Amino acid sequence: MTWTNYIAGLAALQPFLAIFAAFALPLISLLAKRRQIWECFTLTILLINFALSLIVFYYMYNFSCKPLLYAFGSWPPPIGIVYTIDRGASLIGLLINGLVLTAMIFSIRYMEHEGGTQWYYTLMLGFEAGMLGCVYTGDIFNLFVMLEVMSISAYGLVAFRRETHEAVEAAIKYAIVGSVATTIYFIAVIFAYGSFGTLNMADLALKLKDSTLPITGPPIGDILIGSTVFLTLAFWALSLKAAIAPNHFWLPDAHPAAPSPISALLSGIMVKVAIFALMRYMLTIFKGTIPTFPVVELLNYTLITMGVLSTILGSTLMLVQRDIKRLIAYGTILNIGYIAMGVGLANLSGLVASLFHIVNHAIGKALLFMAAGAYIHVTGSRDLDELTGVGRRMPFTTAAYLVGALALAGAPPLSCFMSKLLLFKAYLESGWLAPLVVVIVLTSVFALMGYLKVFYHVYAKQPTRDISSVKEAPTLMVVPLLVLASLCIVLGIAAPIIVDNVIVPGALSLLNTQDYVLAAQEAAKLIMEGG
Amino acid sequence: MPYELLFETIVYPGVIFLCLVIWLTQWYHRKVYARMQSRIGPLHTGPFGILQPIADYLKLFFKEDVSIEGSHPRLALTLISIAIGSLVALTLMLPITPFRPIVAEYDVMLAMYLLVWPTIAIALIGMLTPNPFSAVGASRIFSMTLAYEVTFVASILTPIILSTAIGASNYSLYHSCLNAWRLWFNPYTIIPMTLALIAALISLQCKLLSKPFDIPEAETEIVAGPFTEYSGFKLALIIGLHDLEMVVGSLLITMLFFGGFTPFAWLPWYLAMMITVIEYVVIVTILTWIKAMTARLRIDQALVIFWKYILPMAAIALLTSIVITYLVA
Amino acid sequence: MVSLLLAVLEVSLAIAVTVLILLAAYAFSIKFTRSMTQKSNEKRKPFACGESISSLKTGLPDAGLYTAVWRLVFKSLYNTLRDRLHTGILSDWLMWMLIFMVVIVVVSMMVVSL
Repeated sequence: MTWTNYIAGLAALQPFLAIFAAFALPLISLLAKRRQIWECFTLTILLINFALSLIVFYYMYNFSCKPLLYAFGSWPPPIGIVYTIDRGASLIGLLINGLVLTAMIFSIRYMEHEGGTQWYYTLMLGFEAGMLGCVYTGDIFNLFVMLEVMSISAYGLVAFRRETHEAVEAAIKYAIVGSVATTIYFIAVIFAYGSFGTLNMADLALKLKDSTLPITGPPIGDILIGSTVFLTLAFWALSLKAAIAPNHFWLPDAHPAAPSPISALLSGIMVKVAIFALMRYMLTIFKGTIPTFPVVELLNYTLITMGVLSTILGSTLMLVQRDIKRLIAYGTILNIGYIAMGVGLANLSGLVASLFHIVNHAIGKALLFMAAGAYIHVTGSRDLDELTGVGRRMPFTTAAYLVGALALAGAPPLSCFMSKLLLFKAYLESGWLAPLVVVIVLTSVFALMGYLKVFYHVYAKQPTRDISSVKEAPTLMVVPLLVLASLCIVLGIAAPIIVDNVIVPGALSLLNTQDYVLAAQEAAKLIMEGG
Repeated sequence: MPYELLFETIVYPGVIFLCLVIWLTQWYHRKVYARMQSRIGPLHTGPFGILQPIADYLKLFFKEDVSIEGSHPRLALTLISIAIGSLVALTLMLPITPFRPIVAEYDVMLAMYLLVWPTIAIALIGMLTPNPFSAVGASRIFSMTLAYEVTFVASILTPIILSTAIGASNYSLYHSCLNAWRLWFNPYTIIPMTLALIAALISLQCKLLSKPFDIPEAETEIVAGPFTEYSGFKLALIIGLHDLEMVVGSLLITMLFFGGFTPFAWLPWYLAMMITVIEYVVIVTILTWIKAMTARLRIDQALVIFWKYILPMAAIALLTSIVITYLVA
Repeated sequence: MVSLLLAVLEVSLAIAVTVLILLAAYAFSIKFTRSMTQKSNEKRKPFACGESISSLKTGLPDAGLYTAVWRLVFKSLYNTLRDRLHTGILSDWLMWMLIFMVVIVVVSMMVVSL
């Protein structure tokens, strides 16, 4: 055993720790009936996970340029489940852990008047486990399992305020649509297994190139048809999970209905996890392989079309919303559109833009939802007309909101401007898709107008009612906001350094099928020889 | 290295230089506008009234700055300053910057954002005062933004894409300005260039909120639109922003479509400079001419005109330039 | 020629410098004008038709701040979009989704078999 096994083990430990804690928390809540104990327990687990992902991230970026592989139960790759951690995955893993931790800290005061918080934290831990599993896994069926873990926790969290009718309605809608998506993904996996005879991602990539891992044989069916159907159905299912138009419509119902920290997680990273899985399939595994190449190209163009549609729909519908969280949720559709447009280009510059936008948007959107949560916590209303003027009494929250809004709308030199600039560059480089830059600029203007509508209502507009009783949100809620706001600024100003040192290596690792496959081959060989 | 940037921001072609240009442009604009309407225009302040714009600014500078209850004077001030700053920064990206212009590959998007900010800032400062006229004005600006920003962006993109197609720049504003004038001598590129130039001029007119698109600040209907509640130094800044938009917009069109001095770089520098000034004056005259010639449209008429004629014009120019890029490649 | 992201930082620096200059000029102007003006709250109060009104009443309904004009100008398009596409019925959306899925599956199968 070497260092690398330990590091890969640390990554694989994170989802397990989270799921273990998720099962343990209800038992703990039977014994200890104090809210503080549940919170301490959750916070400890999340802190440990964050530290673990930080170690993995640091190791991956400093000492290892190849993906690391962890084989569960020491079964060699195509037989057992493997977790493959490359630089991109470690980056997204760090993002997930950091945001869940922030949302958890924010929840402590936000959920103080609600009953049943042990279930809330249980679902939150399960949610984290699902997302981490989706990102780290190297197995298409395990991806299905983890998608289900993530989605079922998400359905529960959306329905958490079960006394309000809209939460229940949104959760049912979300659950129906989400189950359709996961079922279709499952069917897709059947096609892949039926034709390739394997569920391992690296093995799939190898079999497409007429080669195999040491244990398995050649494909058992027609891999041309099998991989086409698999890829198309998986693309559809994951685009639904990622809420890319025309599969976006569940999002504006589901995300606002959840408690605000959960909305921050749903919009911030859950949709990004689905996009990340899509990147894995379209850029790492099936890219450049001869038989499926036309399909991948077709799906890339489909993704660009869907991305453009998303940006236009998201930005125009943002402008007409009256519900603060719904408005921000439409902003998610808009930004997912940008990310999809970057992924659809299927080259390095597009992927760099997408990856950087994933990070920036996750942080900015979490900030906006949490700031909206602070307003809602204080006033008890989500309607913009009832929030008029409250921002004047909450200066820190409003300042954080403004930073987040400007960052997301793309005001230089804040974070999302830099990633949009990279996307813009990628589109100009791409030749005949260059006119789409007009869409990017236009939708950015819309986004600015949309986010500033909230700012206008909560701060600039003359209050229509007496707001003297409104106070600044509790410190435990303001601190995460300020941390995220400063991250928005830092990511923008330090963008040249961050892009060169973090984003580009991450994107390169995602595009590197060779190393991804080699890691699996070496691990298989090592396990077979070592016994 | 930031010292050069500082010098350029503050002196030339930054704040001080732009103040001079605003002064002269405003004087010229008013004089010509008045002559076109059979008036005389500024006359008494200085020779031919040349000091009149300065007198107006000074008057506002020394007037009291009253802000109505419930408005946000500091926020408004910051917004206008940022808008002015973004136009100054845009000037630093043009080839008139002597030492160290801000230039990078693919910096067009930056230029476009800098061009959009003033519009948004003007609308926002209208929303910051509790006055129905300013809210209506802001609402009208937002409604029209969609129409004319797209047109302006598309028409600015056309020469940049075309000059990249001929291999002269890599989507940077600076290099496009240096080389885009060559496009007028090619029978294929002359069509998109003409269309883009017309669309750019008309949408610039709309950006400047001058006739026939002065709907957001229609003084007979809504007093002064977004600016109704502002006075003193802030009003001076707002008017300065408007005048600066005219200067920078005309300068951008001069440099991007006609290259300014670059086609005549073989002439002595003072002659090349003179030619740049003449081109600039011609652009300003055209804008003034449109303003004097037309009356205010209704907002739905303006939107329909933009969507039916001007936007398709810019779109055709953009698409043609993409096609030409492919034919060249 | 610097990298694109550095150019953004340079632009931001230029904007910041300009903003500082303008703020300094504003401070100077305030210092100058303050000595000449009378202090009174009267001029800050909102008036409507010559009558003084409470500032709480100066707000106006602005739900359609961005969209009112567009709805008027493109009324038929807006109504069509809202009534046909944006029905909000789950089954309608599922239909669109499934049509989309069938379309991409069929198209990709065609692409492969050709």
